[in-house]
Amino acid sequence: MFGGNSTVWFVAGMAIILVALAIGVFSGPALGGNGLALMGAGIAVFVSGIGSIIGTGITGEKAAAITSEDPEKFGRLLLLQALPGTQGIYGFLVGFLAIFRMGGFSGGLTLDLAQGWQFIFACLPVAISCLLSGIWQAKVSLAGMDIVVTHPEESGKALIMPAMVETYAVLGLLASVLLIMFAVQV
Amino acid sequence: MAVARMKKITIYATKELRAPIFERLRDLGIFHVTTESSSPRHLGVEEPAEGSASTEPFEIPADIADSLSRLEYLRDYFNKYAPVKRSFIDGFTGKKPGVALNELRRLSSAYDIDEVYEKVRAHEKRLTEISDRLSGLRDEARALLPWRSLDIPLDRVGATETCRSVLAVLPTSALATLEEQATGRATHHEVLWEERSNSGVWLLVYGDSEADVSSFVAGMGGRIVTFKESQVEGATVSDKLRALEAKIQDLVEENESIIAEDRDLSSSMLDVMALIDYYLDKENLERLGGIMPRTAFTLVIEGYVKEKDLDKLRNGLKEFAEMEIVAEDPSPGDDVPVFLENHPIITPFEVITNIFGFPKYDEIDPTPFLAPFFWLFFGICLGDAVYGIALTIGAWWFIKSQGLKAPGDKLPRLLMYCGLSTVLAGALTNSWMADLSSVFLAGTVVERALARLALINPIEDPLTMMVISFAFGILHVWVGIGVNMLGSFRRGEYAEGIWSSGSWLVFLPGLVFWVVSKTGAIQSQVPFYVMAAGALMVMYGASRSQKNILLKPFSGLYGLYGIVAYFSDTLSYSRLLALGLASAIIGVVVNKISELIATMIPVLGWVMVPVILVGGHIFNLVINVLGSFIHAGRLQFVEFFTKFFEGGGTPFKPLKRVSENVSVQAVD
Repeated sequence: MFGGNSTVWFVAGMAIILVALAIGVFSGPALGGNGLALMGAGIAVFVSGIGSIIGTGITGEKAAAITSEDPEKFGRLLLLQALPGTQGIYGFLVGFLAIFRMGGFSGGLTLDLAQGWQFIFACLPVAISCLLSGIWQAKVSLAGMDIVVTHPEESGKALIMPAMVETYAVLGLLASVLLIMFAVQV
Repeated sequence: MAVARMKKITIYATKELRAPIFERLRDLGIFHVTTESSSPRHLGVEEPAEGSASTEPFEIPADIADSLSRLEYLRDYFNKYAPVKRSFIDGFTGKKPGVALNELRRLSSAYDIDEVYEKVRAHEKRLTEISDRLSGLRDEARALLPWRSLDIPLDRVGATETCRSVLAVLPTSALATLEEQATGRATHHEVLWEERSNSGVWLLVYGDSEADVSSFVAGMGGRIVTFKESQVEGATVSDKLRALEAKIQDLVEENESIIAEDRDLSSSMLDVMALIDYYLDKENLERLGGIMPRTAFTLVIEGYVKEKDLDKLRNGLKEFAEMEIVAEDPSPGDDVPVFLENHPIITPFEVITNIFGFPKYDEIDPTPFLAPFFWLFFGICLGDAVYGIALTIGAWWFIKSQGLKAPGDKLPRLLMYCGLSTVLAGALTNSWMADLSSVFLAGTVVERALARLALINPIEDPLTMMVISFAFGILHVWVGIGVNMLGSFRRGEYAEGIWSSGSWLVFLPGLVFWVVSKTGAIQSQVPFYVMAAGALMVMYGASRSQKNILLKPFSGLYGLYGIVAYFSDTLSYSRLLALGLASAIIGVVVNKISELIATMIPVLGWVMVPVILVGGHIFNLVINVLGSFIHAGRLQFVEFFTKFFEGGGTPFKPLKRVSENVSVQAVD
């Protein structure tokens, strides 16, 4: 449906975040701090996930098409497809840390509303940076696949360029991890 | 330890020596032929007046082109029977089947390309014929099959003196009313086959003409069927079917025997591949010979050879009498090919340099400078002792099992070395398959022993780790600036080196230690003065090229603004912490999940734990090796190389035997 237009997915990801924030504003008291915090963890996981899903999806299509012509390129193409896959892992990682930090693995959650909001905002950097960078890193990977086709011996260069985009996912991850580990008051 | 010194070589020889000299150069494998040849400079008077002697178009000799196209045809044909399978791993290593040189020489005269080619061509033609013929026969049999219960010979169907009989397909629904529809005609029919919508009948009509019968059948919505081809007198449908079956059987057998023969022939697939290389090599030499400049009698070959290989070249060519080798140092404008020569420990790191490109001939080879940093950064990013051990052993095993030899083993060897730094980083951060020891071995000797090795826990104390990351980054950037200064000195530009690079090497350390002194860790005013002096040096350095005396202060201030670039460069090293955390925390997640399963599902849970642990940690290892490699590399290319490295040199590619399909092994 939206396959051809990754911008739509970026907008969709941002819309999910906005809807979650709106739910927090209007139904915060009903959800309670625990609910808000868990929603934050969820945003980190699946909004980052959207970035990687779209990223690995569109790169995978092209990789498969090239592999059908030249199966020997499979290995190099797989690496290029895997690059936009890390964003989803970063998001999952932050989600896990958030659940860990709110006490999800050690008995019940007892968070108040303010703490719930803190978790939501701590999760936002990774969610937004991974959503965006996942999609746009994939575009660089797609172009890099052309390098693999025409100059297989230069595949290393094709790997480095997408890594430039990933920098900002890494920084988002770092910000979220630091916020959850140190800034959030539990 | 750097870019290998080259000698520029010009070989003058009589034209007749072209082929033997090129063959010898190829066998030596040390001579880089310059293909974008300049005009021969030393020929002078010998150059023919028209001056265009060197530009006659090159054509591949017909016999080579012929053999090549025939061999490629054979390869494609044999590929159906004996496909060349290259494993996933071979795709990475580029491993090819080996053929001994003697064997190749023998093949080149013994293998009768034309004979095999003609045979295969005939086979292919015959196979197509058989396949066409078979499908025709099968269609015929398929059409006849329903009528096999007709027990009179087919040639008896038709007109007799008083009647007319036909085979017809009629709608099944029309059968019941056939007699009524016959209105006034005497008919008889026998149903030979019946399906839901159509039926086949033998229809006998008294007296009518052919046209009447067909209109009668058409009127009922049916059609008349005739079997015209190969009418044999007195043959029934069953007889015909049997005959067809026999023909089909014969053809199938012939088909199988041809395929069996082709299978036999295709066992020479490897020979064909080797011969393709043999002719590609011939073609390559012809092509090179064709574009070399020459005069009426003389051939000029230009190229480069490593300085230390010069004697080898002279020795290798000394049997050719009517030839002269001129060796000279490359002049500044020449595009000298680059070969990196480093200590064996450093050599694998050339992979990183080569991803970016080759240095120019007069540039410094960055490999020895980046090697320790890449090694360290990779280790910090992956940062788990067990992963490091696995990576080192895995890479070592890969090299051994694939039989890789230098220089083809650079990448796995690099990973092998980087596994060691990973062990180091993992041991210092107490990460042995993340926190596995404290999950399953809590309170044991093992946990205490491993914990004693650790200096820092990055998950609980990421700020210290961040400072460490920045510290390595700052050092990395300084080394980059230092190498730039070294480069300037090497070119003899001492002032340039001191003022544009050296000044920063005073200013930046001064700044860093001044910041440290502000935190109270150092009680000294020295860093402040060093910083101030450095700032002045930087400003002076930046204003040197500004001619307008009034604008000089502004140029200086603008030069100082370059600090912003260094600042953002340094921040970029926070990725060391982030990637280290990422691999550690995913490891923690895997351990946590297996712990949960072990406690939640009794007995069976403990069976699943090893599966989850192994699978999860292998996944984490693979994902993070990729990430660590790329980001440790990026720090070299973006943060380090920008300080001093330009790149863009031409790689040194000595003339060698073409090995596209097989690797030829010389046997002495």
